[in-house]
Amino acid sequence: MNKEEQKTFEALKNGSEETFKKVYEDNRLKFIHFARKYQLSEEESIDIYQDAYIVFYENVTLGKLTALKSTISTYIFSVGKYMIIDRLKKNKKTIDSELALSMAQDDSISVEALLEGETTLTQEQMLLQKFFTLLGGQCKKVLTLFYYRGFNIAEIMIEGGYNSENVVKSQKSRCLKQLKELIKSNTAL
Amino acid sequence: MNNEKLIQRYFLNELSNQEQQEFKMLLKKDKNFKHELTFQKNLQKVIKAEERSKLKAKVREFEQGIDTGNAPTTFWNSWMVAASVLLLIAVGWFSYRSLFSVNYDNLFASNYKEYPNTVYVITRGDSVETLERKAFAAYDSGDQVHAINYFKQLQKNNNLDYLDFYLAQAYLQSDSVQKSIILFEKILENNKLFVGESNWYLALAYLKLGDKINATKYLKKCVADYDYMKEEARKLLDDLD
Repeated sequence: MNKEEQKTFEALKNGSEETFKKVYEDNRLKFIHFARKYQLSEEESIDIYQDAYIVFYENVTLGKLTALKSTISTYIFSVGKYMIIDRLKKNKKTIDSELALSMAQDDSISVEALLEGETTLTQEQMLLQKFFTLLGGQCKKVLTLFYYRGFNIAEIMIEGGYNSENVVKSQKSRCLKQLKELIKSNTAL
Repeated sequence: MNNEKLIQRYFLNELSNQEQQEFKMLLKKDKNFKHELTFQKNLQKVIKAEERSKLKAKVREFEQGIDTGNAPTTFWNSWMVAASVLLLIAVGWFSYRSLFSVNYDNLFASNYKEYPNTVYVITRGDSVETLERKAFAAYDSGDQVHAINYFKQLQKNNNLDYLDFYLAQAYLQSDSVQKSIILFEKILENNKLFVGESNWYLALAYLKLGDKINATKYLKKCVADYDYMKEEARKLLDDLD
């Protein structure tokens, strides 16, 4: 990574909206050109690009990606390549064996990182999602900081402006309890 | 340690070896513990999906901006805005051209030199007329139409690092500027050979298109990151300023 890339990387990590948009736009056309050889429609290519870009962004902001071996574009393209293969499989298009091999040999990104990116929800999880959206803003915030951002109790206390760790702990427990009660009362009907 | 704290430490990746043993044991033997862990894991997945759909909505919004230029709300509004923008561009363009015009064609012509063939030596006595020889013979003689054709054929069967670069050169010389840009960018992305050179020629390609923003972007990179044509890039940046 050169100096400019390093700056961009840091800005993304610090949540710069402007950089988030700029990096998206800078790589978009290149990815569409790149995806053309896999005979996907332009809409599909854009859709895959968006998903790959989100995985990249999440890995940066959630601290899973602390430094890049290559460039930002290479990382996004590597994620995108895996997603293209996945899409082709789902579309049941034949995949050139050489192409599959070249993709499998690309070691700039771990497969685990991608599997973690899978967000297809089960029936049960979809129901849980419905009730999660019914929670109040504070609850959603605390739970999101803990389960998504990976903040510990002390960090949540600072981020949420709470007085003590105990307040955060009991808030978190209350929110989980509330969620369980919501499910219980609705499934009992 | 109580079960709640153990699960909490699990999500924070903070379990010690001993706690991991305890965790595994509870998972096997305690149904309630397993149930609670599954619940929280499901919740984590749900929250992740929620956050992702927020991000997806955001990038979709960018996409709309790209397609429609942040479209206004009504049909007539959009026509009026489009007409005003065109008028402004036209007025601006004529005033600009007459007052401060940067002549991109001249700047390109005074800075561009075709990159010499440094990879394939052609000698008169060559008895075998290989595709590579034909390609570089055409390239050296300025016959870029044939050079492009031969380079493309070569690409099908060879994995030579420098083919993209010379094909891009041939495109740039034959006024297929967009095609050359795609290849130069690909080189910057993937290659180890001719990277600094590609950066310089990308700047020139954009200059040829009159795209000052991108030309400046790559010239700045030339100055900051590479040695190739560093001084020329600095001077060109001054001329563009």
